Amino acid sequence: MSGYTGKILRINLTSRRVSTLKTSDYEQWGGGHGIGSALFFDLVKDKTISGFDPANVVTIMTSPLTGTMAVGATARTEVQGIGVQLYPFEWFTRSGFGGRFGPMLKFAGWDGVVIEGKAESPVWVDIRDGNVRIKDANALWGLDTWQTQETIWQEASGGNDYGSWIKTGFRGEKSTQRPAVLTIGPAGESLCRVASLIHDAGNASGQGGFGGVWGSKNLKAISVMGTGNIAVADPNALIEARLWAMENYTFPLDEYNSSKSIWANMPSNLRSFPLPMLTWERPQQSRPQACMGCQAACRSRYDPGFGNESSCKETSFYIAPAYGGGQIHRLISSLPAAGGSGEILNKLYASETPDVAKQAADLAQKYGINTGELETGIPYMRDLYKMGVLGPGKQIDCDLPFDEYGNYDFVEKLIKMISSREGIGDDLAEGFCRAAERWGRLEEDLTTGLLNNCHWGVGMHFDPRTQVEWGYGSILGDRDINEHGFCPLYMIPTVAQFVLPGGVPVTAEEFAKIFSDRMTPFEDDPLMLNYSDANMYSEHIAKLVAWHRYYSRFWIQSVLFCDTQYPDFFNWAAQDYMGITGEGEPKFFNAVTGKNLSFADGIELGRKIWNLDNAIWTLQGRHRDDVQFADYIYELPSPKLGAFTMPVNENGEWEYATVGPRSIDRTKFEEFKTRYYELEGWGTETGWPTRSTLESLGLESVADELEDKGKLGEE
Amino acid sequence: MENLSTPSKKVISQILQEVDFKDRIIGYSINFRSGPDRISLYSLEEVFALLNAPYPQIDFNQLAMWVRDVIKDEKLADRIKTVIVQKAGNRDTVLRIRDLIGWRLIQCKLDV
Repeated sequence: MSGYTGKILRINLTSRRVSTLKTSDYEQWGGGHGIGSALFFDLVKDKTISGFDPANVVTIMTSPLTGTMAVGATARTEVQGIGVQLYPFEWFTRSGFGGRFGPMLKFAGWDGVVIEGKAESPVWVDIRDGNVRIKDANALWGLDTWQTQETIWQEASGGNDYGSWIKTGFRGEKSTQRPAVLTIGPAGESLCRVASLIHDAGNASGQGGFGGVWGSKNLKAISVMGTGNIAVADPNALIEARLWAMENYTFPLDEYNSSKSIWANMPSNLRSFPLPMLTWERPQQSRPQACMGCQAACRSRYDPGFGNESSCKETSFYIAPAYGGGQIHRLISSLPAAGGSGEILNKLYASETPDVAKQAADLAQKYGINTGELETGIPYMRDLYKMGVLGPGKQIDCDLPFDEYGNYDFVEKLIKMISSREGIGDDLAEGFCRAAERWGRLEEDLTTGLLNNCHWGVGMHFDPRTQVEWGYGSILGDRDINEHGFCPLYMIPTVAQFVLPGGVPVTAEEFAKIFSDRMTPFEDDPLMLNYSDANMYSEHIAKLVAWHRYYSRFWIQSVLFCDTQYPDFFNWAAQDYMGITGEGEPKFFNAVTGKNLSFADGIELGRKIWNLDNAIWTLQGRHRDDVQFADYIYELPSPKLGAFTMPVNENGEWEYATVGPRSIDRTKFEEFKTRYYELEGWGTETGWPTRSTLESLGLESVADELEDKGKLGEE
Repeated sequence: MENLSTPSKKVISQILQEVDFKDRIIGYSINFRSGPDRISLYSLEEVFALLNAPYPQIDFNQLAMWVRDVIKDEKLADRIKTVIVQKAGNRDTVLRIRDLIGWRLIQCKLDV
């Protein structure tokens, strides 16, 4: 079992029993999400329970590549269980995070952790190699996530300085490393549905509200320290693969700041630049920070000391308020005393990401709140305030200081109120959809789009009306997919108009084929990448959505290649722009495991995992009628502004064109769903998996359980 | 600000204050990973901030109307219109309008 440690740690918090599951019993699923779904299916007998029910099981899984030298697959960890954030149903869902927790878990000898039950009082779990203890956490309860980690590090080191030897096992094993800790903050303790799990400074498992689930189990933290290693089947092949990937698919470091460097930050793109962020951060003094073993280093440590290790939505959720409402206002206000007007204009242009945006990231990480929820929620609250609906003594009584919008005081008070459920924070802790429901505004605000949460109560990321694979994949699944594999298809042509004279260096037809050629088993159908109005409900788009689900479920969420780098279709550093995807993933997987898995085998395994997940949702009560976007997606066209330029094929001719404004037609979307269910071999009346499809995938026992519950899809 | 006379105290006040919900203007900031962020803009300062972002999108004609009808700065609106008709391309148009607004904000503040 090269790549695997062979053991999964099983912890029952109710009985305080610690036991072991054999990884080999679940190895057929690959790792990560596949194993997590299979464990959940086996261990949760009643799948209709709430995420807060003690019988809910949370799995924390690594992959065989975790902790090895595989490029872009060394450090992700997959979390699954019934989530409490999603609306209106608490679907079985997933979330992932980076850092060093996964590798450390492997070094300690565990492929994953299964959490069951509920402790009588707050506990934390101390894992040191094979030595596992459930400890009292009363002294940790109430601490923020950083304080919690520092306290555990201090205890593990016996009060010595960092770098001192820490005993980990019974046979004298020891380490100078700090334990890797995954913990909840005050928000999780308050059972917030928008609470995250946090590891180190800025690694968050946000979607799903697993922080609240842990809080309901009285589980404050899991700490792990390992001194072991990971068996690699063919170390030479692994090193060769890493060198091959670095040489052929990443930029030389001396090209940093070249005209190409902006594209190195494009998702998904295998890359080598240490990135102080050209797009989601404004340039600022910083140095790179990476997950364990990663060559990309997509996060930073900043000169002011704020926002360290945070990135993406964490450092961006408060940028617009902080920049527009805060920093620019302060600069303008400082004018008379600040010198000549030319100097001031230069200052305005040179505005860096405001420190307050990074301080806001730190607050969210410390209190353990999902920043994806805040990104659409904060502007929504401001709009309600400006409407005169929300504020002191208003219909929605709220004493948030909107005159400080964009400043630190506003976001600090907001996050503290949510975490403690104080005042309006008690509503917001339920998530913005449930809060709007309490306020009697949900229907109206999801019809007008004022509340920009379009699928399963989660904020819009990319627009389902235009980036159809993103939106359809989300609504046919369980959450905002947050999978950027096809983003280059619309980001490159769109951004090119700002920065690239002459536009994209390949034709729209060539561009589409660069993607479709690797999309086995549908590689002969480039019309999958045709984003035209006429194609948006077609069987081609059904294949695109299906392929994306399969790829992500196996290669991204089970083998745990990082979504910021994979799939790497279009690569600016590679010859002919052909990225590593298709060849790279199995090369790394096989070098580590000694198996002979093809890229297509992985896609088929992804289909199997996707079917298992749909069986779980079916057992939770899903029916095709539930698979609906928020009303504004049907009622309103996508905005003309913010529209993307994408490949389209009209009358047989490919071109780059701006897509939209357009809405999703309800009737045609229902027809699309039928088309999609037919492609999957699911019942078209219900959306439920059929016995024949499940049996063709070796999932007879899943079919049996569905039949027992009367939930088998019609053949 | 070149060729733009100082606005009246009343217009200066309008330029430096926030407008109501019904008078807001919508813009978008495009990010590689988080997609297009819809932003409600409640002041000229916020419009400037959006236009100073890496990949802003706003309806230029609507912006000119907003400056004329809501902010009540006809001179600035006329200058924005002048930039629009030059059809300099999206990026150059953004930068030129950003500069116009930036100078106007500075001019107003220095005259307060």
